[in-house]
Amino acid sequence: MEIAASLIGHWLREPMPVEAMCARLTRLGYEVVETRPLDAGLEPVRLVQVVDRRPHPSRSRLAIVTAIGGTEPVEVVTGAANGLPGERLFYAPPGTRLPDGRTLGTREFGGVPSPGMLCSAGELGLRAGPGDLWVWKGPGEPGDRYTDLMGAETILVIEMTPNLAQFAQSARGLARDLAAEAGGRLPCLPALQTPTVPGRVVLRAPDRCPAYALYEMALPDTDLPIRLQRQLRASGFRLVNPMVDWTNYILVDTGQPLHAFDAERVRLPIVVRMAADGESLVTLDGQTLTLQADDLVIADQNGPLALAGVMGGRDSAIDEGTRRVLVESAHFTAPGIYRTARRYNLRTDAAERFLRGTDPEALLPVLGHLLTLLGEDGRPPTGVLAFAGEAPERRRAAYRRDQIRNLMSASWTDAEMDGVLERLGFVVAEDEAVVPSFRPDVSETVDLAEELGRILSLDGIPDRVPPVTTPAVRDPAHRFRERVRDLVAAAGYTEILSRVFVDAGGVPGPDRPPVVHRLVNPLREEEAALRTELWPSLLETLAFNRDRGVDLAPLFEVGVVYRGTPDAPVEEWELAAVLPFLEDLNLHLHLHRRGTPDVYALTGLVDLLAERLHWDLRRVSGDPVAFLHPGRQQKVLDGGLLLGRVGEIHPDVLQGYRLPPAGLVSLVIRPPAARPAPSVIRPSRYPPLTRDLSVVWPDGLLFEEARRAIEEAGSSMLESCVPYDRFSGSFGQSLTIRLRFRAPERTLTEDEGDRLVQAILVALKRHGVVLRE
Amino acid sequence: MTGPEELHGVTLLAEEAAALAAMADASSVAELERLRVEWLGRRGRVTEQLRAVGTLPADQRRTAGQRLNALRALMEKRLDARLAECARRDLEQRLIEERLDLTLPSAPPAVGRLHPVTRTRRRLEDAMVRLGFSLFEGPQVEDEWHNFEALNMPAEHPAREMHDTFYLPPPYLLRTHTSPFQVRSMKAAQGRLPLRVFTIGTTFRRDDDPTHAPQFMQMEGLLLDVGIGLGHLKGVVRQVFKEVFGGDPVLRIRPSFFPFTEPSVEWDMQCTLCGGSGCRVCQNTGFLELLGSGMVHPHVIRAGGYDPELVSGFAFGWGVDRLAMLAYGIDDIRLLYQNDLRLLNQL
Repeated sequence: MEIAASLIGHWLREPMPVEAMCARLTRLGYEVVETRPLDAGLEPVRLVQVVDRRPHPSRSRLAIVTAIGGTEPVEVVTGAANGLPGERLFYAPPGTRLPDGRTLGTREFGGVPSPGMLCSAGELGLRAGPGDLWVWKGPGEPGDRYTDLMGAETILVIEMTPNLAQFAQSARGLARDLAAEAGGRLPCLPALQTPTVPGRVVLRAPDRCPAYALYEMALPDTDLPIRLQRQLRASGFRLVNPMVDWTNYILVDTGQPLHAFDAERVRLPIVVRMAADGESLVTLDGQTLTLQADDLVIADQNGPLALAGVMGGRDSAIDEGTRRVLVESAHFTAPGIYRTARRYNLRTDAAERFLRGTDPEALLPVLGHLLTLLGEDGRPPTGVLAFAGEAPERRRAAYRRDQIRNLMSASWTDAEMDGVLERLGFVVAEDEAVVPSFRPDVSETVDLAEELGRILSLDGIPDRVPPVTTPAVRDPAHRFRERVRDLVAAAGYTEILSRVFVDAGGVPGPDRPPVVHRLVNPLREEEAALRTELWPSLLETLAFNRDRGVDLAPLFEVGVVYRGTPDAPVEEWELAAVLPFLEDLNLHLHLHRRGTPDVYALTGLVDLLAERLHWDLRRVSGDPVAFLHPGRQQKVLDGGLLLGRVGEIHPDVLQGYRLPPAGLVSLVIRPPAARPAPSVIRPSRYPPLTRDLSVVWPDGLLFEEARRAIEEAGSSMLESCVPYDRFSGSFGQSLTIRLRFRAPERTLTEDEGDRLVQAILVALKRHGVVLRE
Repeated sequence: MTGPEELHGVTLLAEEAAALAAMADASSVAELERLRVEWLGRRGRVTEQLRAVGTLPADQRRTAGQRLNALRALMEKRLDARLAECARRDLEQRLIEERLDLTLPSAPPAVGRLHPVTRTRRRLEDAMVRLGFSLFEGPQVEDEWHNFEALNMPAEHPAREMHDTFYLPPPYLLRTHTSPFQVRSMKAAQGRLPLRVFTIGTTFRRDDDPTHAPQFMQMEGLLLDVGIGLGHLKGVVRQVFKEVFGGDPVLRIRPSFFPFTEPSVEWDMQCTLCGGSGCRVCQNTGFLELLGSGMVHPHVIRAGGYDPELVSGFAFGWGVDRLAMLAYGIDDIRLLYQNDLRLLNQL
């Protein structure tokens, strides 16, 4: 909220410099996030005295006014009727920034230059009459600065937390805490010494409106003094008309909203009741509301006049013709106002107070405060007071001093604590405290502890560190995911963190799983559901970067996908990695002749995860999915469990993102059960025997099958079996395989090598593989 | 004609002396090889003579044999020495020719990198584990009770408005903070004490501007035990700041508000960039608002299945993204989740 520093200050016994006020408010929990002078931009404005006024040579409605004050006489063209010799006015030279945002320069009127302007009160953000230009009657000499004559006014911008807003959304509320911290208390509001007249107000919903006061009087012709106008403006309000401004002033000064009805448009008695379902009301801002039975209304004999505590109605509003007013000072309970304000999205200043809580005992004192202010010009208004209902009984909060000292680790004395609470308005007893009516937020001991902490300062509480008695742990599943991240990053992939939101229609492309969880209130339609797969985010990220002319790079993410059913959501952690098959991933590496990655880099990533993480991942062909290349994909299994896929992305899918060929790994991360460390085979000290076989490879034979045959026939002597060359000729496909044999305890002879190769050839022949001639 | 030369006790014929000199002067491996073949090869001149020693008269055999063997040794030594010199010289020549321009772009190992938020998260996790807090993880799709009611935010509580919530069909929503973990970890602990846990993870609010992303990350700690007071909160949170930022950061505390803690305390740290004199990062306040904390509200302790008459505790939390932004000097949170490789590759 914004509030004038001087408005807080006027409640305090001792003047408090603004800087000190800000520091103390912040320490009390009212964080002052910004301060700025009310008169920012008006610094050049000064008081001048008119010495001459002559008609404009060519424009009959204009005059040229010469004024002195400050450096040298100025001549300004004005259209105002006043501004006569001898009058003292405010002159705003070029460079002045007015409250409405205009920055003044020099203008020409009919060939006569006019630097800056002579100001009306309205142009300075205030209201003073009569006449167009503001004729200053106060103290001061020509040449004096406007800002000096007005006195500094500082706007405090306070970030008000909801708990404090329940009682401190006003100058008086803030001042109460400042006073309590300094060891003092606020003066009471004046009691209203007017007898009440019965029969004017009927309360039909006492739980929603327990107390209601109504004061009828002639429309006051007393305007707010300039000082109060400035305080109101520095509290974020615009000036409207005196009656509205007076009620706004009381609101920001005391926290109690008032509302003024045009008395001649109301047929008494006032009835405070629940709306009838479907009843309608035209509000001050011209909206026609269709009310619900949960809305509280202020009605008269003709129907609803106002949406209680939220906004007045147009038909009973005061206007130029108003002669008498009914000023309402009422207590409405918070939850109902909250619902109504939210239902119609009406966040008025009044609703903002009522929905958090106001002081039910302040209704008459606040009216008294208003009447005192109106009477300060010596003409106190007279009127008729009506009052119905009663303020709820004050709550009692358990007050356990030792528990508070323990909770706060503080050594405050009973007297210190009692004193603070009493200054805040509590009535303290042995083991309980009677809560003041303006504190809806306090109901138990911890609430009192919080108050004591705020006022007695948290800084003095000594630091303590409880010893660590048990070692801290991280969940194995969490640690496993971290190892996956590290390994995939080490393998050349860059981690991204993407948003979980996807289009409710799901990800475009063939055979996509439907989304399960739809947001009720998405930010945008294309982000209306939660993702069920991770890899599309990676393609989007590639496309995003490509659109910005950034080189594509291998990407990965370890993140949550949202599955299950709407009634039983299941969150699963997935790994997705995408590798663009591009030669020019890093153009300069061509110099160093790095190869083009292909789908084998992705099957390799799966194998790397399996090996390094002791994760029992198996790649198995079959059951192709539509988003991958039909001939270049595999399932990834852990035991019998399908964890995901590896393969080249289907050209149709890539086309959707306008991306070049790429492959992916997409896996659910299910940490494997802990396994015993593998036993180690002692490396042989003897040399290997190497043989290359060039064989004719039958169509359709998977290397996997041949490898199994080779391994069986090669016995334990076969150390490795690596295909390293492939070409085709008249014989069909040929593959060259390098076999390496080694014995643990001796050197293998050439003869043994021949025999092993023979056995392997026999085994291969069963698969149709023969030696190439 | 000069008389016979003598070298290392070997009497040399003129042509032998010339050959030895040629061997010493030879400038290439090939020339040395030619000299070796000429003199010491299978049909080399020394070899032939040695072979012929047997045909000499008996009284000459011994001296001739000795002389030739000594000559051969002399030649071999000279050839080997010169060969080594030539090889060395050739290698040096090759190395000069193999010179590369190492100012050409390098070919670093193709290692990827972790996202800055991941790295910041790990830094925080490690700090918490060092301080004795165990990691506890909760769901992101949360139910309304754990996200609000259990945390002392009943329906129609204005505090709920501070949380712009993404709702799923009832009772679910996307958790607006990590605080539901307080009640979840208490329930999981089933009465055990002390409970010293933290959580770190993705949270969601319906907000999208330079300082608020709809998806962000929070970390939160909780300590529950008998006799825990605000002094413990202050002591532990100060330790957390020290662990995460190093040194002894200047900290300021202010009363604040969270529905699920009372009293609540906000922590500001003196701006690390300007040292408190005011700059863009701290918006000229000299301080950075970083961490919220408070004593766990009795209602929350009760919701977690503990008795607030017997135990008390504190909780504290901060934004992982915010700390990442601070660490990497980023002023728009959306940049963190846009995954622009030009940005990620700098961090």
